[in-house]
Amino acid sequence: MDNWKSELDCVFNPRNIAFIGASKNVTKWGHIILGNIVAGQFKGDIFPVNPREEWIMERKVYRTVGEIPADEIDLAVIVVPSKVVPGILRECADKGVKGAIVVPGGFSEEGGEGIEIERELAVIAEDAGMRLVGPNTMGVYCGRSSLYAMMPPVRPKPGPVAFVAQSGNLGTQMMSIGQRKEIGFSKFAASGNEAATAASDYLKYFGRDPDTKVLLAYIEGLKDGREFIDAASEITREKPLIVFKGGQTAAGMKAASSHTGAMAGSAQIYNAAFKQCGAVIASTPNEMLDLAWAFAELPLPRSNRVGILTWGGGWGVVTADACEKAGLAIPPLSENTIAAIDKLLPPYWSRNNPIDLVGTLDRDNHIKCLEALLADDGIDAAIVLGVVGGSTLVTAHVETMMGAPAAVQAFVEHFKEVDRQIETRLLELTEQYKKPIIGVAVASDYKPCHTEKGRIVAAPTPHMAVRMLAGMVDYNKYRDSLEED
Amino acid sequence: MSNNIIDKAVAEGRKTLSEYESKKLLADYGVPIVAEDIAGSVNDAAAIAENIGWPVAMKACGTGITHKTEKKLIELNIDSPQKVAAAYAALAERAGEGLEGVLVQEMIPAGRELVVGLIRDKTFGPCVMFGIGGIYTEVFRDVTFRVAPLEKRDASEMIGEIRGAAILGAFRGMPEVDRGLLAEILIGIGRIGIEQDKINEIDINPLIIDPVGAPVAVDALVAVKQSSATGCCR
Repeated sequence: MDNWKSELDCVFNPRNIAFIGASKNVTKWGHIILGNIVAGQFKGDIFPVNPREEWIMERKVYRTVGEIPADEIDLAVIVVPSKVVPGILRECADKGVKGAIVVPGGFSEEGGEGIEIERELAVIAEDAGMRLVGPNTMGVYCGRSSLYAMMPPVRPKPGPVAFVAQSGNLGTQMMSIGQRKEIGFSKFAASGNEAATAASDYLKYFGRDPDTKVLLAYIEGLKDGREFIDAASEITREKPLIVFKGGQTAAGMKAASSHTGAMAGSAQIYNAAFKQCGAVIASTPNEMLDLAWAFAELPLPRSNRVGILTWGGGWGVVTADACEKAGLAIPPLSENTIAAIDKLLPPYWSRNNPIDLVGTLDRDNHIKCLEALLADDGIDAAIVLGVVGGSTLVTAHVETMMGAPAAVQAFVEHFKEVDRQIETRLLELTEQYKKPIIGVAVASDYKPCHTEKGRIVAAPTPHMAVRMLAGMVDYNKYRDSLEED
Repeated sequence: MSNNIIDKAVAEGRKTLSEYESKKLLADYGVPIVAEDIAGSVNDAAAIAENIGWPVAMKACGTGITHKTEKKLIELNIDSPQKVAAAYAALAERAGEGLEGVLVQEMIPAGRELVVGLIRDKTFGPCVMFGIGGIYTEVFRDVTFRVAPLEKRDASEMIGEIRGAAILGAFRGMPEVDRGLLAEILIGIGRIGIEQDKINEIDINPLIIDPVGAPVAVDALVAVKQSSATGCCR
């Protein structure tokens, strides 16, 4: 019924934008956000509106929305004080504007009169069939339309991850971290006070979006839990949804008359609901991003059996421990696999999972061991420790020994090239065996190379690699259980 | 049947159903309950005990009676008509005016104790709880929740995900718990949450695992929503 609310193309892929409250003052949001849209190279027309200006950023300024010489306006970005927003929104409705982003605060979050004004906005939007983002929002982003209608100067690169955040602050900063991790985003929305458009509506829209492969949600509180469950259950049939919940209060229901009531904490109920609709639950913002990366780039493991290949024994032990804790199995290797690796490693190798490369330096050989591991039918996924990012070790070594890295640039470059070749091979093996491989460059903040085949997925720690695989295993299990029903 | 019990309680402005009423309602939703009947006199009680088979448990029953363990309103292992008479008199004295009858129950031998419950969450609506029951329920807090309605998958996940899940397996000569039946109970409680909007909360504690591995509700509390006229603020 309410599905029109999730038809948000006018917000994310608008043909043109009316920017109401455009300002020349560089310290005003009316200038900064307009600047972000212009600098972000939005492809459609931008019409600044301000009754007291004539030109801003080399664009003609209109006194009102009504004066804009366009028959149809898809999106209005509104940056004026809260008290005058209802009037402006009515003008937008009269002009037939399809969607509006109301940036400023001063509404329900302040209480009192703000609650009334916000209710008024919702009614105006509802009556006109206008989509309303916010109020009190840091804005939206869309890779396809190159729309950066946001307060902070965040410039994520386009990619497969869509993100809705109930905190603009946390959301946009997560986008910055994602940008540093080189995770590409399709769309982002800070849902603000959700006067008319709720997190569930954005998720429904992202679920249908062909540019989106993975959905992220930062949730603080849902107004309608049932609607979220229904929307999320629909989405997770096709695409993974990763949820991070803020505000994990432990308190039970107040005034409960039963023991059950006394033990029902809101966080527990939220987690139960997320689990029921097949969402993957992240426990930190970084985990959410790393999970997104894994889901976006890797095939799902068929089951939970992990093979570990490690350059040094200790990390293999630690990773195996973490796997067990997370419900992942470390099965013994098949006889064929052992026979194959017998030919590659010195006779004293572990002959077991994890495979310890016992510090051998022949990196070609490492890849051959990995291939033997992936060819094992009893293995669904691989974690590769210390094999990727070898160049960081060499660079560190050279810097320590020589003091002047410039002199040995060619040496370092050579090792980087070896990294690139190894990572290309890893990507080929993922494709060939359809099993996820996660690299861990232990003790460095290694960033994978850009190869012709893309980038491998590298976790910052073995524990994160385990968490990524466990999330994928859980999601795959959930999808399998749908088929059984 | 269920609706009559609930409507009566609401009409009388009560917060809870009596233990007897609570279990009648649960039985309607497929929850196995202990064999029991309500007695209005010592003779009644002895006849019921004879019918159920010795020994029996006896509990003071009334719509205002809760926290029976703390108030010493339970007498266990009653194995003769003489003891029925003594227990009846003792319970009647301790319960005082609130006594509406004495519940005579089959004695389920001590066994593994579980808890099943229902609450209404303000965001997600009716939610089912499952976990380790008995008097330490709120100490260990080894419980898990799902939003109603429950699918089979949800119920079996709940059964598998409590920390003490191993207690449900074969254990010190006790058989494995009938997980299918347990799952049906959880699904049934979820159904109450969906179908009976006047029911606010449910506690089944303990749900005891009997010697053949079947769960049976030994004590239960059902809280009803008071009509707005009585000034409930929930």
